[in-house]
Amino acid sequence: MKVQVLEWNAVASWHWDLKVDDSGVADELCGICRVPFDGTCPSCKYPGTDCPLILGDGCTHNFHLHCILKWLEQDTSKGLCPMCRQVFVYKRIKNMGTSEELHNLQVLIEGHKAMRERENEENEFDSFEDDVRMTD
Amino acid sequence: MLSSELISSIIPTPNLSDINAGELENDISIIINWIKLFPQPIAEPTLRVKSAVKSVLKDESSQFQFTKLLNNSINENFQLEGFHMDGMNICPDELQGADLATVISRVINTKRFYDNLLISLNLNLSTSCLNLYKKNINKNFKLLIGEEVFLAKIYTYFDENFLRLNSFHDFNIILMLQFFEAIEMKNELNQILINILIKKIKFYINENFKLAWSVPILHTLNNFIEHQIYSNIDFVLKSLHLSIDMNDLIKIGYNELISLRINEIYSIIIDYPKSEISLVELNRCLNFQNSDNFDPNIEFYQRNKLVENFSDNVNKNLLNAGINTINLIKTYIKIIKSFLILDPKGVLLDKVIRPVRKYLKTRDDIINKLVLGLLNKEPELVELSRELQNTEKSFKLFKNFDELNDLNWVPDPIDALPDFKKFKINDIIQSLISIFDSKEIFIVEFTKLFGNKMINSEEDLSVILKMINLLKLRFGKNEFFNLDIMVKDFINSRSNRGMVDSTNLNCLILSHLYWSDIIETPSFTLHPSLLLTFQAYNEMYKRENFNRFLKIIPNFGTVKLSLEGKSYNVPLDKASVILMFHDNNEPVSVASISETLNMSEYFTNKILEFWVSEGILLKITPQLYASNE
Repeated sequence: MKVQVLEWNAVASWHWDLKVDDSGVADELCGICRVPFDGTCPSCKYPGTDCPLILGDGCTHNFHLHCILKWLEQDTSKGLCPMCRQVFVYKRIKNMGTSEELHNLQVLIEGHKAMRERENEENEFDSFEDDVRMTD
Repeated sequence: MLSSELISSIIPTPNLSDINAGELENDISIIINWIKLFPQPIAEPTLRVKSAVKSVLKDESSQFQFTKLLNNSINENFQLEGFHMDGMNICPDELQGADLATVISRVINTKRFYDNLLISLNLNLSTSCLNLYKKNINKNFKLLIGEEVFLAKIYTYFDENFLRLNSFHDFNIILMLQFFEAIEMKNELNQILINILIKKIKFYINENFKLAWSVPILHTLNNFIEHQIYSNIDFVLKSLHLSIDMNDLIKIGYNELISLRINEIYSIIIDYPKSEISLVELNRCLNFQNSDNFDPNIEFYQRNKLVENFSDNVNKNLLNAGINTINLIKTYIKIIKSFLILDPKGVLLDKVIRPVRKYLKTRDDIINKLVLGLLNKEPELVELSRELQNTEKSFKLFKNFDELNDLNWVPDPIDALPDFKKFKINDIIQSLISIFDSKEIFIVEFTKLFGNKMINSEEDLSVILKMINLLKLRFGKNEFFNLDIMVKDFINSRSNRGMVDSTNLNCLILSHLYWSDIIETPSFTLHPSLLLTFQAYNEMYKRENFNRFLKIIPNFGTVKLSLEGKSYNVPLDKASVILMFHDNNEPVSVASISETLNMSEYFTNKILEFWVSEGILLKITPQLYASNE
């Protein structure tokens, strides 16, 4: 007997393909707003394309793009991941977020980086002065 | 009878100082003798009498004394023996037994006799003495006639002869009127007349207007009162110089109609809209004010009684398990509409609707029925969807919410309950929604309903969108965010369709978090060949949408199959089962199908039976099926 499928009207659901962390389980909630990734961040209405995710590259933590933007806008964040306190770097993935949003993200991350570097220089200068004082 | 002893005991001789003692004795006894001739028709007094009178009643004070004396004798006479007539005494008992006409003509004659008494004596008494005398006579007659039994007789007489009242040629009537005029009992007669009129009007209303709800009747009633009641007593009133206000009569009629309608109110409202006209007229009756003697207490009483009676009936007939929810809702709508006619301010409605609202809340299926009604899926409740389409009304409703900035704000009516909110009850949809404290419960139901329609492609998207927009006007724009996401999923999936036309698979892609009320946990896995097709689609999707993948929801969707030259449109479970027989002429066991598809054996059997009934499969043994070739 021949069974031929002519047409199929299927129903499916989409899910973010999330990175699995060290323990082998993918986080389901955004670490900042505590809403599932498949839902929206607090300022969005529609999930999915309109409210994209950002996957951490240095660490395994993921966030809603809009959530991490808000986090990094604060000086106190110092450009660190809010979960593990490593410097936050993200994976560049095509079509994730608008170019404007990604640009903003890039600017923020670079700003924090510059801040950190300046602090480091000052620290080095301080320690250099200390050294000088000690040699005196 | 006057006696000399009596007279002398009342008027001691020394007090009549101006009169010679000897002459006085003489003159008085002459007068007394003359008066003693009563009650025979009085003969012309002799000269001697006249001169006696003249000498006794020389000045005013003695005239007064004489009148008092005379009055006293008459009073005693009345008390002892009733009054005189044609030489006979009639005692009160006899009067009551006698025929009314006889009594009246007798009374009139007797009255005339007494009235004429002083005149025929030609005593030249002063006016004040005459008045004193007249007053006393009237008092005596009133005492006699004013008995309840007698008044009851008069009542019956007027009642029976009501239609002849206007025929001023009727001797009896004229006589009667003279009689009342004569004894100055006009007010009593007036009261009797009013009582009769009330009785007539009541009878007429109860006879003609019971259950007459669908036709206007007020005009008929007004006509009746004006032309058959008022004009009938017009003559009587005029000849007695009495007046009854037409508007008062109409008010009496209206009040009677109101109490009739109050008793019928439950049935009237159940009969709405056929009974609409009677509600309009009842409203007019309730608000009718006759010029001066408007009594707010009556209005208050009537409104209270109306609410009381209706609520009693509602409790008895409506709020019980025997009435299904749809009928309850229908009646609820009727109550709102009809009570707003009765009382546009909504105060009465507010009072009667509360227990119904409380009860409706206890019905499990109320939300479901309301939602179906609003979406025009329940033929019995078309009214609700019609109401929903009325966007003008919902616009007004929104405005009303802002009470603080309302320049046309007026205080609540005086008899309103403290938490009276008009906008909450005068709009049918608003009123039904506000039965529940939160709108959420409706939103969830709407979301479920529309979700199911979309996922099963039962309704055109444009129809759904139109409905959602109407609902947003009533429930608020932001309440439907979940539904908005669902609609967007639906629209996005449609545009996807063109993008991937390489396969024969159309996929509706859901944001699963927002469909969680609808999608269930799958009860089977797809046939491997279907899974393969889906995988290919999924890969394509992943390429388009980075970092996202799809999960199939096998419980929904349909597959169009070509089988033995016939085409079938079946759900995925049926398709998966029959695909097990593709290119396979060997019998397949239920157990193996059930294992491959992760489907329960019971369910597998059911689907196999379906294909057997379609003539596609053959049942070899209960455990073995093969294609029917």
